Amino acid sequence: MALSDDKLSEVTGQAFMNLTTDSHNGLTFTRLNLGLDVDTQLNIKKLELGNYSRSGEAAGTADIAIDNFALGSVNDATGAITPFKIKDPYLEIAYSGSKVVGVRMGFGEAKGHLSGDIKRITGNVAVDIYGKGSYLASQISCAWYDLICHGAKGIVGGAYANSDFSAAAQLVTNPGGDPDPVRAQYIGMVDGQKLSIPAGSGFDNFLLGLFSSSNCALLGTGTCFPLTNYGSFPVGKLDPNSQLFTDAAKGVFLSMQTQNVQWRDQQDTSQFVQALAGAFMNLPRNADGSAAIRTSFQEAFEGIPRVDTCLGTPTKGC
Amino acid sequence: MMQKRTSLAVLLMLPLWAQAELKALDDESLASVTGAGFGLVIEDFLYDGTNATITINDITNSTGQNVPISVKELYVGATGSNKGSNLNPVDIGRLSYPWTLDLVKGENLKTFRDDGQLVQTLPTNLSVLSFAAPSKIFGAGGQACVSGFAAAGNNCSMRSTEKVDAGVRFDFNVTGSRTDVINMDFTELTMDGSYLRLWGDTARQQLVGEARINLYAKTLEILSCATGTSGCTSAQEQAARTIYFTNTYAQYALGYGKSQPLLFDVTSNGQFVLELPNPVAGISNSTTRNQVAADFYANAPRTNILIDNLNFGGTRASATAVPTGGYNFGRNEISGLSFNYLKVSSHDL
Repeated sequence: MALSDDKLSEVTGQAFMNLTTDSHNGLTFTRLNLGLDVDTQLNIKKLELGNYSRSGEAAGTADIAIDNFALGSVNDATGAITPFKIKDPYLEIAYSGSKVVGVRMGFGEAKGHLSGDIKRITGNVAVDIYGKGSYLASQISCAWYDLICHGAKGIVGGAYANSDFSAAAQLVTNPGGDPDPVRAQYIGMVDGQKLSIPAGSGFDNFLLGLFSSSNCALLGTGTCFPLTNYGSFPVGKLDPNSQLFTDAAKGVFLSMQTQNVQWRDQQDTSQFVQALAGAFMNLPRNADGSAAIRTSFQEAFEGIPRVDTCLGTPTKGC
Repeated sequence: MMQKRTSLAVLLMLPLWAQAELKALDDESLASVTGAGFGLVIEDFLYDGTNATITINDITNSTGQNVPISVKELYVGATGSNKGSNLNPVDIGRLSYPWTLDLVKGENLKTFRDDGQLVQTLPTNLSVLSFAAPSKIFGAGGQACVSGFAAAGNNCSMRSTEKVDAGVRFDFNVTGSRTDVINMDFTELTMDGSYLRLWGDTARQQLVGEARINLYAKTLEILSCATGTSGCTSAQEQAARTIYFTNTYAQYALGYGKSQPLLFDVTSNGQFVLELPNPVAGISNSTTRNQVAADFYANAPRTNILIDNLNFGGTRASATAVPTGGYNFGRNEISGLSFNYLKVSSHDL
């Protein structure tokens, strides 16, 4: 409805953007905050940031390299789109004196499917893997002489068959199982990481605490998986039953910096997230401890099929 | 003192490509001409706002205090300006490839796809207001969009002497004691193939459009300090505070008139909404949906952004050489970006 001049004259100061400052660890920060709600479903054929020679990394690789990147999904049966939702994006610059040492683009909230043929990622990607003991037991492979392993498999698939297991995962080397935040190709359990039953008793978790991942293996089963296995990641909390997102991931950002920079954590402003020099993607744990990305053991072992991100015949690369 | 030295040659084109001896039209002659549109070439254009300052107010900080933004050192001139210190006039467009303002039917307004094929992006029998930069050329006569960088294409119409150097400086007075500076200098900038097309959408009862904004530049340098102030005096100090882009282009595409016009609206409470609707929304027949989607993916322009080299700090051995020293972020690319859907709504913070 058109506004009259009188009504229009009453409107003042629509502040959908502001500039704020910050300082930490010898650096100063200036941030442009944007009051925006962005719903989108997009496809990018090639996303590559920071393709330069980097010590210890293969030639020709990039800090972040994803082909057929997409946000959101489509339903070809109906033509409907499920958008990726972003709330309150911001652009922030880090200064050392008057020298720019970093730039980041962040999102107050983000939720939806992130898809792509992920070749390399530099950053912090927190993943929770969950699933029933019955499925986990089916993946445990024990040598005939490993009686402890056989015992554990029996317990996990028997007494704990209907229990919900959980494990934290992150970017790792394979082989090795060491944290690998730079140009990683694998995600999985780092050395020493243990399974847990979040709703279980202290005894349950004590028992599980006897077993930890070592060199990308736990009880005879692999615990590190190539990123190329994962066609789509749910960012935010996805209800596995309804397949609806029930909450957003907070603290998601993409940055480039010339030195390690501690950016203020948006979900806990008393904390900071260290981004390594280069291009860096941050998909962190939420303030309640849950990961930005949550996936099942079955999906971890077998990969996550890509959601359809293209209208019509193609499912990707459109 | 602000200098503005331009001489303007406006050429009416019937049709656009039919050129004759350039001659300025008087008002009487101009009044007798109808339809068909304008071709616009600006000869000897020079904008030198070195000593002018524009202040933008009412962007606030988190406590609502004003953060004044000063816009300074704005210039546009011929290439070789050495960051605006040696400004000379430049021709904006040329007679065979002018900037244009047209009112034409959608079927008569074609667009070059990335592969050089001319396609129609607009509905037929629709009156469209078009404002366009010099067009692309696929084939003989095509010029390097970025000199010495084939990946940007050799299909621009502007010759190297018809590109511009441009710059602007922003001072953000973010606190009483701190001013952030962003001082940008482009070299060999051109916008070939850019356009803005607007028309009335009867069904939606609103103005809609499609836009393509192409920016090609040999270099872009962003200095983050105020020249001559402490820590920003010597060439070495300034180089350490410079972000260097080398061989860069950005092709922003918003909207595809046939099935995804760009919508822009302002709500009654003063907020804006920008939308690219789902191109198959409202189509119940799956075969038709697939056909519309296939046409969209084949012909709708894509957004591409490429920085062949991005370097923070360091120095260039020559005006356009890739810097050495500093932190080299190498090549950065976003290519083939298309939106199946986008809705951006503003709200108060």
